[in-house]
Amino acid sequence: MSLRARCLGALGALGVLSTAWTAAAQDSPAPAAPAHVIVPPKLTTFVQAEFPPSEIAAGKGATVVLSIAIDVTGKVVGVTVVESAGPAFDTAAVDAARQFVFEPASVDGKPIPVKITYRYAFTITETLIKKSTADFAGLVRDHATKEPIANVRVAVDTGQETLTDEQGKFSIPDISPGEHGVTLSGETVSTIGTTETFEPSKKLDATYEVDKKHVKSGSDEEEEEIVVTAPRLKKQVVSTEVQATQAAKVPGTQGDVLKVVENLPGVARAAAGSSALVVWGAAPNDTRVYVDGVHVPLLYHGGGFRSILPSAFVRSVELVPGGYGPGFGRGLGGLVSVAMKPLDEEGFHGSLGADVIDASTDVRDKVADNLHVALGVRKSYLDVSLQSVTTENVGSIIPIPRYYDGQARIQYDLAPHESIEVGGLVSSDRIANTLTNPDPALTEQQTTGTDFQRIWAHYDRHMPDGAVVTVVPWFGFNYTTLANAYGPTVTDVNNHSTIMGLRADWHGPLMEHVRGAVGLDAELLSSSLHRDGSIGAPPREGDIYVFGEAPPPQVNADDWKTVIGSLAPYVEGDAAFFDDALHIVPGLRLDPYIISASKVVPAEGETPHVGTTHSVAEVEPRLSVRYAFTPEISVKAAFGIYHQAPQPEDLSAVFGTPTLGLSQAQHYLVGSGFQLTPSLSIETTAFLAEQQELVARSQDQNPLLAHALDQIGIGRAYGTQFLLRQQQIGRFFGWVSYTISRSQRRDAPTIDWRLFDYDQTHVFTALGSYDLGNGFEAGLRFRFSSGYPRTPVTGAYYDTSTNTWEPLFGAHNSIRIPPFASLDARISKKFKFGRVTSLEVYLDVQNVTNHSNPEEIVYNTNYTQRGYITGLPILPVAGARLTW
Amino acid sequence: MALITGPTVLAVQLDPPEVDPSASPPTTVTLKTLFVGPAGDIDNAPIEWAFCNAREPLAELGPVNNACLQASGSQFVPIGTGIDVTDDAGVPVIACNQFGPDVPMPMMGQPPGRPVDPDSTGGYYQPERFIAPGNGADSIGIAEERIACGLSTATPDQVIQFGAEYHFNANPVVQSLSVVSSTGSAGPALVTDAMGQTNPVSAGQHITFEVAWPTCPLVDTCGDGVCGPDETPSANQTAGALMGNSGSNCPTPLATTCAADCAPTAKGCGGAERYLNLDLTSQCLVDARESIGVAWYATGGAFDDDRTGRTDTDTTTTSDNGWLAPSQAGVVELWVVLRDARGGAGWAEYKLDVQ
Repeated sequence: MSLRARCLGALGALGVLSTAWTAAAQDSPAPAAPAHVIVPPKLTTFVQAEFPPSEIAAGKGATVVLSIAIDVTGKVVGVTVVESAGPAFDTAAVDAARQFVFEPASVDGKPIPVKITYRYAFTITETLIKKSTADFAGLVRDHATKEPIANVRVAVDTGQETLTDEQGKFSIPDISPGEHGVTLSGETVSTIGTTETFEPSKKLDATYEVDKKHVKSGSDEEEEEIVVTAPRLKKQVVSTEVQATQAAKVPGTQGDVLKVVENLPGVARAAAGSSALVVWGAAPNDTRVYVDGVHVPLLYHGGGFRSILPSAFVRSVELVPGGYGPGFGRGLGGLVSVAMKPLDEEGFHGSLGADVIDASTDVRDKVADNLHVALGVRKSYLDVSLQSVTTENVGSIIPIPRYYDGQARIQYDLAPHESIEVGGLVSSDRIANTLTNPDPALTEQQTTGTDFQRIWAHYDRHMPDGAVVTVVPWFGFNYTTLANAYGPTVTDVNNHSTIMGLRADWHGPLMEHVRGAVGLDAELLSSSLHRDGSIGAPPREGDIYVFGEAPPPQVNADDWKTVIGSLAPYVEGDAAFFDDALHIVPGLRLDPYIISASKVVPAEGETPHVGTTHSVAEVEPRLSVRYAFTPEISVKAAFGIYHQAPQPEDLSAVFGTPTLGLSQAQHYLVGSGFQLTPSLSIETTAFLAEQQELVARSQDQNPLLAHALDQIGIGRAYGTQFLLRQQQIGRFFGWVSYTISRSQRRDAPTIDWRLFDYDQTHVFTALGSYDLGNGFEAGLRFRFSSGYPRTPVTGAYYDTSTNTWEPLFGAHNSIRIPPFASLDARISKKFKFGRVTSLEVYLDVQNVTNHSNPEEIVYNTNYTQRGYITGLPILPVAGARLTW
Repeated sequence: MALITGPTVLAVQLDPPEVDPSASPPTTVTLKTLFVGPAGDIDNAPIEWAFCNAREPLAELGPVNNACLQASGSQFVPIGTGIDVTDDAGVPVIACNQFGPDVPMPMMGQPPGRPVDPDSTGGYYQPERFIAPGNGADSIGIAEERIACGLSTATPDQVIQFGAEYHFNANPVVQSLSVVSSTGSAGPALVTDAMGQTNPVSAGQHITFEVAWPTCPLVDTCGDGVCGPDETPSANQTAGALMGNSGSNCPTPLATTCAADCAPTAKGCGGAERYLNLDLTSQCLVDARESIGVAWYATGGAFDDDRTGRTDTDTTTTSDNGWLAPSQAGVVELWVVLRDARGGAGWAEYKLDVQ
């Protein structure tokens, strides 16, 4: 149910008439003239004003007295406030009155323009007071005849249930917010399930249509067909999903919905200027990002300032740090799944926003009854913004990201429950900086670029039996470039890839209490790569070096091609026992890979290249179990095996090893959930991820040809994450997340375990957002995290050939950068113009206390002194977004 | 780091700066150390030298194997002790296997080993470790001798051309050090310490020094005193060189015979030399040119920059640096060290009389 004001429109005194009408009356000869027949205007179309959300909490009504000018056709041509009740009430009343339609006033049957005084009363009712829970109501009826069906049991997985009445209606109040399973059952209806999302203080109205079939004599009743959406089987045991409406209000995100991911449990804090996603101690490349089932190479633009999608297109973002089901694979780490908002709005909508970092716009339109289109584009100008406030060539010193992205979507509704969307996405990133030095040997230059494009078709069909079929073929390109120069040692790495995939999924009910899913997840990556320069640049995870250290001067070059493909069928079941208290969800994924590299050994003279191709099929069992002792207390556990193909960059015969195979990981996790109140919950998850066949540099003093990388590394990450989450309650929402973990690697059996380069022992985030009323909202976020591990420098030696001091290192990753702490704040004000148009202005201030956060350790030239590069100082970002 | 406050090794000159480890008889190598202290050159010190034969694993990103930084071990082959040491035995003959493109023959069933990658000048280097006395504790360091090992991925024709046209490196030479006048022109050259004289400067004065090195020819001209990358010592070698890069998309070789400059040994240049290099991306032999780096040291005052230099594409043969003279009178020792891109080094010392 949407929040609605109960507006009592009272046609007040019909007082002031129009000038014409007044003139007509005065010009008439008073005594002799016959009496005029005056008919006041009659309201024929009343538009109910929205009760201003900002005023609900005050619990008081108000009355606005308006002067409404009505023309000879009965159209409202002017509305002015005579007696104000405050800006919010005034705006709502005027907006509504402008949409009134009257039968015009008349004098002797002749329509005349008039002005009337109208008293618009806003009364507070119980339903206006925001509740922390949701209401659920609806109708169950026959699909063919539209006749209501009585005595259908409607049950929510919170334990609440009811029966439909004779009119087929049902109502269940006070459901805790969130996604819940809804079951329809009864004597004439087989048990059928669906899921619904409930929002605090809102009422969900649902209509379920059932196709009743004839009952054959002497036979069992035939199945009813119900047009509902089957529950998503891919709901993971450990996942955190945030709706876009909340995510946009999180301080530090500047309204970017997808940036909320960095605030979720299990995610390490990325270093300043980094867009790396480190989830449960896995390498950034090990966590895969999907947008509506389409794999994309990154979630954030360079520097981590922005995500690659406009917030208006995002319905929700879900982070699954581990233990996910068989529908996904090819990654040893977590999973980030972005759900796009369906294009189902009426009319033309859009937004236009800008701040000091970038500007963006998006439009969405319903161009026909069953056809929607949407376009979005964003462009950064931070480099220009900074240049305008300083005379220095900042861009040449500080790596300032330059990026753009664009999206296009066309959705065609083939049938009421069947649609196809064709979409495209482009994204481009560039970062360049130069540190000049009087000695050319010390001049540093770096340019990185990441471009990718995707096109996809997304077919969805909701079957009458509650099943859902989804087919997503997609295609695209990835281009990455790295140009690095440290004095004469120049490194160039280019990767041009063509990527395509297909995701086909059916999920639905199999039998009573059992649901299932079956699907196919295919992906093919064909890459053409060039690399020249030092094998040590860019550094790999696990390399021992200090920030700013020159790479090894040895150089080489290679051009190679790779093909990595896999075609993974999967199946999953969800068996419910004990009235849905226990769910056992087994799954199996068969992932056969083919890995091909064009050169098995480096090119030598004019000798023809010989390539290598190998294939391997892996079976990946997955299992998750959830048990709810009560609707408030539940426990869960999950296990899964995961594999990941090598990176194309690692299959070089010169810089890598063309015969690399798959890396493997096992995820184990157990956890519990407590629903403390209908809107307050706490989740705890303990996890262990073990990894094998990890790729690392060869430790061999005399490595073999085309074996610069070994695949004998192992890893482990373990820890516990907590999430205390307050869903929207009244004017507030927020959460506290904390993860304590340790991630380690052992690159070869002959060397000791070490901390993973991205290990963070403690990651704590607390945030909240509060609706202050009158369109104002304010939020705070506090973050604390351990610093990344680093290898200490214990001394130095002098290299006379290059006139440089080189570091002597202590134990690998045995010290840490000091911890990070930052308080961020956001305040916004939304101005509403009419029913759908609003302008939001915001100020998002990162690091309010201007706390100096070390981000990296640096040394002087002979390594006798240690210092830190600090991160962002206080960073206010002001912006505005117009939405219509 | 430009201010000398204690015993310090500033540079090591290997003479010759590039050798063929397989030469027979072995090439004698002399290591000359610029070892200085606050009082100037230190002429006698027990600097211990050794070749380090430990190849560096790919997992180590420093210039040499960490084992080369130890005090002792089987990886070391002693060279001698002193400021200037001479190694008559020459660079170890396995140098091109350990530090170059040559790899041992593979064992049966095993793939061959991975050659060491060259640096951007196409060079391979044999590390030498030294232990020098310091203030209270010994300091450790390395020098590297460029070794001529040929090419690892070239065609046979390119190997022949490279053998004919690549000429060993020569150490750079400080031609002069001058003070730049207020008009921007270099004044007369300062007198070096070797001449036993000092150069007067005013206390607290900011001076711009300009160091110059010899101008090396940008095109090869027979008889110019420098054996360039397009010149060979004999007609036979020229014929072989002309086969290089042939049949490919690479530039046509321009080899000419110039015994005057190239025989019996190639005459080098004390500046930014041109040399033949294999471009690893195009797999073509190309003419390259050395960059020159300049390191500035003094026992007093303060330089604007510790290091300056010229890139390989910059044909200027001078480099400037500012220096603020001490505010108190006295003698300041000043050293200018030149390094070329192929591992050569040369220096000069000056005495400044701050008045």
